[in-house]
This record gives sequence, structure tokens and C-alpha cells, in this order.
Amino acid sequence: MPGYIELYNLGKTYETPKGPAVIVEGFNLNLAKGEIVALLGHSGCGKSTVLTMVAGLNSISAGGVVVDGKEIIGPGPDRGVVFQAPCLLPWMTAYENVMLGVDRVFPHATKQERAATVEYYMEVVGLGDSMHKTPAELSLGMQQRVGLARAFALSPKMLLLDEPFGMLDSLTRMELQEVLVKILEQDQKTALMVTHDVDEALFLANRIVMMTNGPRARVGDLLESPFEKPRKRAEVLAHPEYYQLRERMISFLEDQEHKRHKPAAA
Amino acid sequence: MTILEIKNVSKSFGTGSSQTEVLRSIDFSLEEGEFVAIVGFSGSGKSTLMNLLAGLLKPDRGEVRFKGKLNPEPGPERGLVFQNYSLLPWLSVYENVRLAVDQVKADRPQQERDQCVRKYVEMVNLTPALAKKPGELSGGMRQRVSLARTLSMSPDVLLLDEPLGALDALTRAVLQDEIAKIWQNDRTTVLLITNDVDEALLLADRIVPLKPGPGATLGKEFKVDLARPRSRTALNHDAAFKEIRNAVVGYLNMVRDESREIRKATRAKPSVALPKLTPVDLRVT
Repeated sequence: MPGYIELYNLGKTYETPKGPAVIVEGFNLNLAKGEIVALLGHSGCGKSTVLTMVAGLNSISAGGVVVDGKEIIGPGPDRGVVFQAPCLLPWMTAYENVMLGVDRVFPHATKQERAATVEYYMEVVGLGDSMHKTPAELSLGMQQRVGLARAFALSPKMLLLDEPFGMLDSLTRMELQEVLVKILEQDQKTALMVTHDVDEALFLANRIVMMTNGPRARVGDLLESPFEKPRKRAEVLAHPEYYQLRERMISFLEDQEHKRHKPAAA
Repeated sequence: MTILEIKNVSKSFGTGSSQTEVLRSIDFSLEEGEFVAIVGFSGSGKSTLMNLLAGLLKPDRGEVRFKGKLNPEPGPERGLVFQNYSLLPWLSVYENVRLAVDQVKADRPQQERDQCVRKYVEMVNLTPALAKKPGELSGGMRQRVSLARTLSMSPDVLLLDEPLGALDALTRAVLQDEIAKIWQNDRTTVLLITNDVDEALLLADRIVPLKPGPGATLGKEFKVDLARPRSRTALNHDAAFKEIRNAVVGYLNMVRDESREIRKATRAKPSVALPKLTPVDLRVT
């Protein structure tokens, strides 16, 4: 069954002096419209490689990616990206940073409509009072909120989130996860996110893809998240399966970690 | 026996209209042999509290007592580990630790001081890196040096100020296990400041939340009655663990939402409606 987003036999190979290095090979994944999938794995396992290929920021060595019936060639505003670092332009206000993309993507809209779009998303991420501040005047958590607003304001077909809260402390991270889950549910967006935080994956995703260590990273285990929408932190934590799933994921990551330190004896 | 205690402590920074009260009427005591974690939001005044306890700051109101002594000067009996490691970059691992040992154990013979340095460097598994400079070490290794340096002074209380905050999740987990092991062996009194609920649950006997500032106060305290050693995976099917974890996370989210209520009310719903617009396809073909 074709998905809204299809990753078909996706592969990434880098040429090195010692011959080709296969990072990702035969990676298949279909996302239904409105589905949120998390890729979970240790750093270096190739999960960000998959994400950057879907974003069009990294060339595809094998296979392909189809978004809403069209194969991707290079990056585009149909796929909004949120990086680990906020990546804002420091000489522009938060508002101007978001407007930069909005101007490009909605050239046919009136000035008022574009302004309303930016203001709407600034308020949704909780920055209604701070939208005319420059990044230097904002905390890291607030800067990342601008990053979210910037991605969503372009009305993309899908969101690509590369460890979006990896630089934040764990309490700020929880707060931003709640902001993100709210917009994703409200806008019914499809999203692919990379994380190594098991609680984040469980709280946000509908499906969790656990990746084995690279090279030749592949899908190690797959997990459906049984929690109802809209997701509320307390309800998710109180769900009878929450801690079972959490243990399964932590065990998977610990196993991968042991394998890395003791390369296959065979 | 109470070893470190603060009573009704308040601390503000700045003067006049720009004065901000960071901590308000804090009461807290640390018993000998206890491992306590203070969990708080960034900017809530965690480090200010730690500096008051270490004697690096003086309270505006209230008192700090260490073993009964009022507002004592900082000293090696309260060993502090900082988030940013604070190592001297031109000294090797051995020399960084030796510097502390020479200061604190100046009356001991050379050989004993040398052994002391080696013992604590070994305890944090850094013996192979004895001659390396901080610049040649990873963040996790640097924090181990910092930990060895503090432990080598044989402090009565170990004050850990977000020691693992700058490390990646994997390294953090490894160091948490090492701290747990070291504590298991010598049962020093430890106060850990962190923003990570799981770190607190893995290590502490007691969790005390610090509410968001300004004017931060301590919140309801949680006892962590979990058997040691605690395993990250096995804890997930421990009913007591689940209960405490959900209670702490729920409590922290509640105090956060309370403190931000005023700002939230002003934007409960976006004041502008989102226009229905279709984005253009910018793809280069």
C-alpha cells in the first residue's frame, strides 16, 4: 500500500580511500498522512543520514523518497526541517526569521495574510510577547520555539525533526515536547523525527523505529505507540503499557551499546 | 545528624528597580550519609542555592550552617563539582588532582599524597590518561577528573552542581552509574543539583524540587525508597519507581504551569486567525 510519504530501499554510501562505506542500506518506511514516526538509535547509527536524505540536504545513493506522490529532488519547502541547533539568523528578530520563509512560499498572498501567518505561529509556540526580540535576547528554549514556528509557518507537507530538543535541559525539553505535540495534532502534520530520548519518542510518535548501529544500519525493532490523542503527559505516563515499552526501548539501546563495544565475535 | 542546613534564606541580585529576588525563604537540611537531589528548571536559581551552600555567596537574609557553624567560609570539607569542569588547562590530569591534594593534605608525606592522587584517578577509571592535559580529553573524561579532584580532598559533603548537564545522554548514563558505585562504597553525604528527573531517581534518597523563579522556593519533597543498585531497565517494572517518577514529573509540570499562568492567559488562543494559504512549489526541476 503506497504511503503519503514513502522511503523506498533508501541507501547511502560514501566513497572512501579504503573503498565504499555503506552507512544506510535498504531502508524502507511508509508514513500515512498525519502519522508521526520516530527514529531511535545511538549517535552515528545513520538515523540523521536518513533524515537529511528525506530533507534533500544529503544526496541519495540508492532508492528514493516520494512525498505525496512526487519523488523528491533536493530540498524544498514541502518538507519543513527543525535542526538540533536553532539556526536562526542573528541579525533578524524572531518575527523576521519566520517571515523570511513565509515571504518566499506565499508570494501570492497579501502582506496582511503573511503577517497574520507569522503572528499566528509565534503565538502558538508561546512567543506572542517576544516576537520582536533578536535570537541573542532569547533563551535557547525560546530560540528553538522560533525554529518550530519557522518550520510550521510554511505549511509543509511533512516535518523533519533532527533531535529538535537535544540541546535543551530535560525540563525545558518536556515543555517544548508539549508545544510540538499540540501543533502537530492541531495541524494534523506528518512528521519524521530523530531522537535518542526514549520518553520523547514515546510521548510524540505513533510509531517508533529502532535502528541498529551502523554501518549498514537497518530497522532493528518496531514499536506502535498505543496512547490516545490528544496526548497529555500525565495520561501517557499513567498508561499501563508505558513503562513496558520504555523498558523495551532502553534494553534495545543498551544491547546496541554493548555490541558496539564488543564487535561481533563471529 | 544534620550536616548542612539553611534556614529562611533569601538572595537577590541587582539594586533598586532592577533588583531580582532569586531565592525566597528557603529551608533545607542535609543529613549525614544522605544523597539528596534538588531538581529545578533552568534559571530558577539552582546554582545560586549551591553557591550559598558552598559558602561562595552570602545570603541576604537567613542563615547557612555547616556542622553547626554559622555562615562558614568556603573550604575543602564542602567539595564542589561544577558543570564546566573548571580544570587548569596547562596541567595534566595528575597535576590537576595533585594541586588539590597538596593544598588540603599539605601535612602528609609526598608519597602518601602521590598515592592519594592515583587512588582517586583510578576510582574514576582514568589511570591511562594520567599524563594527559584537559584539552586532550572528552567532556566525560574531564568531568571525571573534576570528580577525582573533589573526592581526593575527602570532603564531608559533596556538592554536585549539574555535573553531567553538558554531556551527551550516553556518557551521562555511564557517569551516573559510576557516581552511584562510588557513593555505594563510601557513603559520603551528597547534594546533587540537576534538571533531570531520571538522574535524580537513579541516584538520590530524596528529591526536592526547586520551583521556578523569580523568588523560587522549595517544593514538596519526594522520598525515593528504591533498592540499590538501581538498574535503568529493571526499574521500569518496579511499581514504586513508576509511581514516584509520575508523581515527580507531574508535580514539576504543575508548578511550571502555575508559574507561567499569567503569561499563558494572555495567549491562550492565538489572537489572529490563520489565513488559508497554499504554498508555492519552489522545487527546482
